[in-house]
Amino acid sequence: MFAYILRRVLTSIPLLFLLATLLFILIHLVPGDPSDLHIGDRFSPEYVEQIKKNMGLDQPVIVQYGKWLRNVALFDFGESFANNRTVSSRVLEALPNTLLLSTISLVLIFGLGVLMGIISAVRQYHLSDFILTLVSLFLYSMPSFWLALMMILLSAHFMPSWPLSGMVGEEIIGKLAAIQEAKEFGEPLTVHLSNWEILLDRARHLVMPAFALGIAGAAGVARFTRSSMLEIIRQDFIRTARAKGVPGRMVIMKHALRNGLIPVITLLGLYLPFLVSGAVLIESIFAWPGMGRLIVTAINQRDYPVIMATSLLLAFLVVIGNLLADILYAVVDPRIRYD
Amino acid sequence: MTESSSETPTFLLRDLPGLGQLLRGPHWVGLGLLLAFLLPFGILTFVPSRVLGTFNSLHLWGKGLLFLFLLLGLMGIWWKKVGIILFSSGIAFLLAFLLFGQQWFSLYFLVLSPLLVWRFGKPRKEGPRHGKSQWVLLSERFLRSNLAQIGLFGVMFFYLITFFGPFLWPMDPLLQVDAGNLKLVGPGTHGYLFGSDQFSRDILSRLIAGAWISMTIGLFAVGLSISLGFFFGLMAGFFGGWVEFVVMRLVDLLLGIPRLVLLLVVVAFFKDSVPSQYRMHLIVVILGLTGWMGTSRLVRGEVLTIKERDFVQAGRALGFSNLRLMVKHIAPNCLAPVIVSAALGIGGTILVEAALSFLGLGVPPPTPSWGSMVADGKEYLTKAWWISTLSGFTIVAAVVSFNLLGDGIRDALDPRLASKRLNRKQMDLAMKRAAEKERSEKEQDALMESPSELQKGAS
Repeated sequence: MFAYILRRVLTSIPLLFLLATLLFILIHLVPGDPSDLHIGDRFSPEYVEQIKKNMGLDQPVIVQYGKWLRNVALFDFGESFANNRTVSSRVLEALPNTLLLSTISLVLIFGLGVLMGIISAVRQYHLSDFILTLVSLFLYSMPSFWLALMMILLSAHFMPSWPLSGMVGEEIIGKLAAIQEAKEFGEPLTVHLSNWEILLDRARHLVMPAFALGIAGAAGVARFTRSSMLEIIRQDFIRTARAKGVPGRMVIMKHALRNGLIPVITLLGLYLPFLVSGAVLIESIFAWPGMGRLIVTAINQRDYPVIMATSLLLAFLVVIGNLLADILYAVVDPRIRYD
Repeated sequence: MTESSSETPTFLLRDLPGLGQLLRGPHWVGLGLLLAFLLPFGILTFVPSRVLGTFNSLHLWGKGLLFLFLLLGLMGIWWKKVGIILFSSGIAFLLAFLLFGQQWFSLYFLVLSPLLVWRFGKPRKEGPRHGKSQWVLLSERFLRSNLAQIGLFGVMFFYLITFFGPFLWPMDPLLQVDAGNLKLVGPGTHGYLFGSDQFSRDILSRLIAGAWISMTIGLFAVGLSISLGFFFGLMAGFFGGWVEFVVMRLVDLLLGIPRLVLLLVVVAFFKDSVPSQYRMHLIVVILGLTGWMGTSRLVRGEVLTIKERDFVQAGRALGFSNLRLMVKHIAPNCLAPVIVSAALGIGGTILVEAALSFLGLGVPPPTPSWGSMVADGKEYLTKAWWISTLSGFTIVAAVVSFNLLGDGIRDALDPRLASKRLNRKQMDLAMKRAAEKERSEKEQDALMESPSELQKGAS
C-alpha cells in the first residue's frame, strides 16, 4: 500500500516535468515571440533588441529551456507586464481565493450530487426520480456562465441587496478604512467590526459563485451516482441483506452506498480540472479575484509571464488532484491490486 | 395480426414520409422526418427568390461542384447505397465548412433532404421476426424510449435549422436597422419575434445563424477527436507494448491539463496569426486535438477485450494481416461505445465553444454565435433580459438534445439496462409475441422430431 502510494507520487513527478516542457514547446510554436506581444511596433529596433536581451530571447532555445525549468522549479516567473509586481506575488495572492471558491463548490458538488443520486436510485421510476433526472440533465447541459447570468438576473429582481460581485462588501471596506484611519490618527474607535461580520460578508459573496460553479458538477455527480447505485442495488448481497431483515435505510446507507461511492471517488480527480476551468468563467462574471480572473485579464492584456505561471499552476493543481483521487481510490477499495 | 384501422388516406401514409410514424409511433421521429420533408417545399413556396439569389451568387466552381455532389447523392439515394450518400454529403459538408460556406450546403441539402427522407423515411412494414441485424435491434431498443426519441428529434431539428438557416431567418442576421428606436426592442414587438440587440439586429435571426457555428464546430471537432482517439486507442490496444505505454502516458499527460485553460492559452496565442475568416477552423482543430483522450481510453479498453475473443483468434489462425484484423474485425466491434461518446461529445463541445465565444475568443464579431450572444446580453442584462436568456436557452436545448441522444444510445446498447419497465400496451404486445414464439417453436420441434433425435444420437 505504502509502496503503491510512493510509486504513484514518484510517477507524477515526470508528469509535472512533461507539463512544463509541453507549455514551453507550445509557447515556442507560436509565431513571433513574446517581445512582439509586449511592445508592438512603436519602438525602435534597438529598444526591441534590448528587451529581447532582458527577456533572454537572444539565447539558444536549449538555454532558454534550461532557464525555464529552473524558473518553474523556483516558481520565479519575473515581473508581470501589466504592472511591475512579481508574477509569483500576484499568483499567490489569487490562489487562496480560488481554492476557497473551489473547495466550497466541491463540497456542494459531492454533497448535493450524491444525495440526489441516491434518492433517484432508490426511488427508480418514481416521480421523484423522474424529476431529479430531468433537472440534473438540464443543469448538466447548461453553460455555467449562462447559469451565473441568470442567477444575477433573478437576484437583481428579487433580492436587490444581495452582493453580486467581488469578495468583500462596500460596508466592510468602509469600516476597514475607518478603523485604519482611526488607528493612524490615534482616535478612539467609533466603528466596530467583528470577525463574525467579516465571515458573514464573505459567505454572502460566496453563495452565488459557488452555486453557479458547483451546480452543473452536482448534476453530473448525481447522474453518475445514480447509475452506480442502481448497479449495486441489483446485486446479490443487497438482496441477502434485505432478506435477513436489515432495515431498508441501513441497506442503502451501509451496504449499497459504500460500494456505490467507489466509482464516484474517481470523479473527484476528474472534477478538479472542471472546477479550475469553470472558475475561469465564473470568476470573471462575479469579479472574484482568483486565478481564473487573473488568467482571463492576463490574456486580454497579453500579460505573457502571468499566463505562463497561472496555466502551469492550474495544470499542477490538476495533476495533484488526480494523484489524490488515485490514492483515495486505492484506500477505499481493497479490491484494487497495488502491484 | 396487426389490424390497421387508419382513417388517414393510405396514399398520404404511403407517400408522405414521417406521417405514419407520427400517427403510430415513434411519434417524435415522425415529426422530425415530416419536418425534413416539408421544410424544403415550404422554403421553395414562400421564399423562392432567396433560393434563386443564393444560387446566382455562387461562382462557377461552386455551381459545378454543387451539381456534381448532388448527382452523387442522388445516385446513392436511387440505389439505396448508404455509403455513397454518406460520402457525398460528408464531403459536401466538409467543402462547405472549408471553402464555400453555409449557403452552398443549404442549396445542396435543400434538394437532398426531401428525397432522402422520401426514400428512407417511410414506416417499415412488419419485418421478419428472425434475422434482424444488431443495428436494427439497437434502433428498436432506442426508439422504445420517449426521451431518446426527443433527443433524436432535437438533434434533427437543430441540424435542419443549421442547414436551412439562410432560407429561414426572418431578417439578415447582420442587418443593423438604422433607426434609434429599434435598439433593444422587446420580444414580439416591431416585428422582432425574439427582440433585438443593442445594434437593432434580430435575435431570432442571429440565433438561427449562430447554429451554423455551434453545430458545425461541434460536429467537426468531435469528428476529428473521435478519429484521433479511435486511431490511437486501436493502436495502443492492438499492439500493446511500448506503443501502448507511449500513447497511454501521453493521454495521462494531456488529461492532466484543464481543457478550457489550455484552449484559452492556445487560442489567445494563435488567434492573431490566423485571419479572422479561418478562426472557426482554428477552433475546430484545437478542440479536436484536445478532446481525443477520453475516446482513446475507451477504445483501448474495448480492443483489449475484443482482441481475446474467438473470432479474432480464428482470424489470426487463418493468417489475416494485422491491418485486416484491425479494420475489418476489431474496429466495427468497438464502434458502439464510440458513437455514444461522440453524441455526448458534441454536446460538450458546443458548451466549450460557447464558453470560448463568451470570453471573446471564439469566432470574431459580427458573425453571430450563441456564446457571444450571451456575452452581448451581459451588458444589458437588466435592460434587455431576452438577449442572454434566449441565446442561453438555445444552447441548453441543443446540448440537452445531444445528451438525450447519447444517453438513449447508451441505454439501448447496455443489455443490463434493457429490462425497462414497459407500459401496459407494450407488456401485452411482449406477452403476445412470447406466446407466439413459444407456439411456433413447439411446432418447429414437432416438425423436426427426427433431426433432433439424430442430433442427440450424434452428441
